[in-house]
Parts: sequence; structure tokens; C-alpha cells
Amino acid sequence: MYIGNVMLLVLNLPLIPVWVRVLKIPYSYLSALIIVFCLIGAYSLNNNITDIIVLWFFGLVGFFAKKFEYEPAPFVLAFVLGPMIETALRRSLIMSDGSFSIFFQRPIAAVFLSITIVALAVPFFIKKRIGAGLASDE
Amino acid sequence: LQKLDRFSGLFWVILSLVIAIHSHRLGVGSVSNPGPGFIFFYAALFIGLMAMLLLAGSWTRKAEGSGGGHFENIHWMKVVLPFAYILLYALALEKAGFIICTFFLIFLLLRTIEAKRWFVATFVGIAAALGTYAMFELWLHVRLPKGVLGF
Repeated sequence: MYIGNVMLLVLNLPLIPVWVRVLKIPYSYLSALIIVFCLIGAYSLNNNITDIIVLWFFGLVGFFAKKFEYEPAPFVLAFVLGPMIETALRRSLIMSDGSFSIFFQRPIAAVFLSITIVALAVPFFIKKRIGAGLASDE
Repeated sequence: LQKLDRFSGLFWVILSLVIAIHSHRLGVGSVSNPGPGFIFFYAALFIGLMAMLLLAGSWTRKAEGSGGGHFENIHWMKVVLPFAYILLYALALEKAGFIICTFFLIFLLLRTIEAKRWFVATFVGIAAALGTYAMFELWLHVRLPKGVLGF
């Protein structure tokens, strides 16, 4: 993977002007080509039509998610980190014989978990405080 | 906004139910010996819980406008038609083959969605179908479906 990324960098840096020129293609043609590339990409994973149906379904979900103003960043994070979380969580639970205390007892995990709890709690308290401030003003 | 929350809440409840049922079939296992469906099952339960909170909130919150603004000024045909074409493409791909399906997909997209002229839509359709076939099948050796006609 690392070699692949280095090769991508080596290949892409001199090709930046070419990729920029791609953007000069009118969007009407570009969008049709993007759809075809997505379909080929999905199909070539397993040579299976089901993957195209999955792409179609999540395209539909994506359209409505955009209209409903869902933030794309958490989705992308979940897609990237999801498989890693799955493996690591399962491994940790097997190591600790099903005890969740492993996440609190190890120092690095405990620090990150504390940061996460603070990050989740702070907006809640700020919102509550702003609400209390507005109520006292009235 | 409440109406939109109801729709999205309902969608996530249904999706979480589907994931929970399928992950249960995979095998949830126990905390000390998690099965293949362990993460999916509990993730689905969490999504379902959040969705139910969203649904409950949509009924208890005060009205904040209709929320229809998100779906105003949408040309629905420009949304429905591409999705219909892609679905037809998926269903016909293995029977008709990559070149024919891709030509018709691009032709229909350009002709009906972008309102291009017949000649332009046909030319771009043929060029894109043959170009992508040459690039993926011949150059990158991706195995694209041949269809009953053999190409």
C-alpha cells in the first residue's frame, strides 16, 4: 500500500496539468462519464451486478442525505475507520475475556476515551449554558 | 423540518432493523467471544435508538417551518430518470453486454437529461462506450460482461 501511494505521488505530480484540464470538459459530458466510471469500479470489484445495485441504492441514499443536510465528514470517517474499529474492538474483547475495562485500564486508550467523552459533553454544556443565559436575559 | 425528520427517522429505523436481522443471522456471539455479526448488530441497535430519538423529537418539538425548502426547485425528472437508467443498466448489463449498455446509458443521459442533439448524444455515447471498453477491458484487463452478442 505504501509503495502504491508513493508511486501515485510520483505519477500524479507531473500529471497535475492534465488532471486540471479534465475540469475543462463540460459538466454535462463529465457527469455521464463519472457515472460510467463509478459503475465500472463497482462491477469490477467482484464481477457482480449486486455491487451496482448497492451503488444505485447508496446513490439514492446519498441524494436524500444531501437534501436532508447530513454532514458528509462523519460518513467518510466511518467508512475509513469502521473496518479498523471492528477488528480492534473484537481483538480487545477477546484479549480481555469480554471485559470493557480494557478500554479504561490502558493509559493510551484511557486518554483518548477521556478526550472523546469531553468532546461529546462540552457542546451539550455550552448549549445548556447558552439556554440558561437566554432565559435569565428574558 | 419535523416532516423531514420523520422521513429520515423512519428510514434509519427500517435500515437498522434490516441490519440487525441480517447480523443476527451471521451470529452475534458473546462479549468474550464476538461473532461475525457482533459489531453490526450493536451498531444497528445504536442507529435504531438514535433514529427513534429523532422520530420522538419530531413529534414533541415545536413547529419550525414546513421544511419543504430542501425539495423545492428540484427537477424531479432529472433525478428519477438517471436512477431509472442506472437500475436498467444494472439489470441489462450481463445480458446485453458492456458496450451496448454503456452506449445506451450515455446516450439517454445526454439526450433526456442534458437535452443534447441526437448526433452529439450518439457520437459521445459510441466514443465513451468504446473508449472505456478499450481502457478497462483491453488495457487494464478488467473483465467486463460480454453479453449474448459477445462484446
